[in-house]
Amino acid sequence: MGTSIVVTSGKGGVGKTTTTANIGTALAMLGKKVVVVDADTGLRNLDLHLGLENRIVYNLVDVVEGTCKLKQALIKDKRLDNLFLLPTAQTKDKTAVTPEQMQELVENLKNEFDYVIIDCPAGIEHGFENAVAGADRAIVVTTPEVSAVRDADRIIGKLEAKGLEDHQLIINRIKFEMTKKGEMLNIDDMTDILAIKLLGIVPDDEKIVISTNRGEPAVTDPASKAGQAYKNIARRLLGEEVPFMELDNEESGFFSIFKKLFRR
Amino acid sequence: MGSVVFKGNRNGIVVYVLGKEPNEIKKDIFEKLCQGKDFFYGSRMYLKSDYELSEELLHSLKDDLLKEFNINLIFEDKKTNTPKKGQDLNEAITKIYKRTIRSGQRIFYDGNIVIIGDVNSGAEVVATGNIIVLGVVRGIVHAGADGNYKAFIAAYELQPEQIRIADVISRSPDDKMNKPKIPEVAKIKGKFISIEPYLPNKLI
Repeated sequence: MGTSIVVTSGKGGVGKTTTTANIGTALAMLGKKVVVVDADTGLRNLDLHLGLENRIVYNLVDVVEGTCKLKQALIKDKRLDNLFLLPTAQTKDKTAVTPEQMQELVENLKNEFDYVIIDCPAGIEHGFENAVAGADRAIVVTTPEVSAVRDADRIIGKLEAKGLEDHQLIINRIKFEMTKKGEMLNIDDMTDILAIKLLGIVPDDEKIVISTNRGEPAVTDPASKAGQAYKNIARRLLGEEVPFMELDNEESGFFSIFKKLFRR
Repeated sequence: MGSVVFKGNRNGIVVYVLGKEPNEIKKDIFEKLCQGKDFFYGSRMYLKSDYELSEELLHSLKDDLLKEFNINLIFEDKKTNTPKKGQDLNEAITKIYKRTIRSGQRIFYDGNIVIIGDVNSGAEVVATGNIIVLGVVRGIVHAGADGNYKAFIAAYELQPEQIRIADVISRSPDDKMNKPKIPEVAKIKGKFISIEPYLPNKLI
């Protein structure tokens, strides 16, 4: 029996789908059998993040409606043999699925996979209800902005009201320099406000845009800082103790002074 | 009276049925015919109605009319205008869309589809006949959806996520190579979908 984890945030554009794709890929790279489920019916994107958009024939709504079998809708990743995607329909809307149906579907997936990672849509309406229905744990993604933090707080309240107490926080798109100068919310502020366990911090990385456009999650790139952060998160999910990334990521030492000089 | 209206034209008598009650319709038709038995004798009759008239009524009417007045009741076969599916797509009914089909939109038509605009990524165009796009195809296009292997897809630019003809599926290659921006035609050759540059005179 596997574990189902929902990735949610309330606010849009904070990196739920990127997080889902990367954690899913990272867990699969660590040898787990993983399925990532797109619950954002009508605005699906997870397929693009994994570069699998041209393979979709059947989807989650087809499975729920009984048009096809669950196995027919699962798409194997092109890089990893133990990573699968369950895409959703683009031409339907969120009301095509009910929370009960979603719960049953996730239960079925849990029998087959070690980890079922569900990408939640933005908002707190029907789509959220669906995504959360079958989840054992939740990962709340936020960015260092007051609006994202407030929405995350709302979501945590919603999750607790549903009895989902096992939730952890990922702070995405941290700019270390700005937090150091105090121009951005820092990590302690956010954990103070939200009062949940911190699962990881992901630095702001321009390369994420490139990897998304190419359909290659950042964790597949050994040089990517964000990718490294997601790998650490995946290891923490498996119960390992991994220290958080150094806040001060600027190189120090004699040569870095020269490097800085030349960079200007 | 009142459930039927008689009109005459070159082909015979056209009866417009306004009511729904079978017995009433029959009674009214007979009453009207009795008023001019000789006039109507031996003519042809057509029935027209907004409602779906039962087979039972139509057949009993036909028999009785022939017996009583030697009137030949001719059924309107609505499907005579629709070409038979899967036979000649060149003469199938065509729907024209003058807009871009965007992500999340799905259009289906029982016949050919012509799109004056693009088919964007995430959109789905499904036709039982051929699909012609005067623009760029970036989404999913499915021609011959009811199993017609002769259907084709033509577009100014073919860069689809997937192409489906009947039950054959083909997807775009993973490495995004620079495709030439020329009109192309997709059709089934053997067991697979093949895409060829569009050359006048060579199409199908």
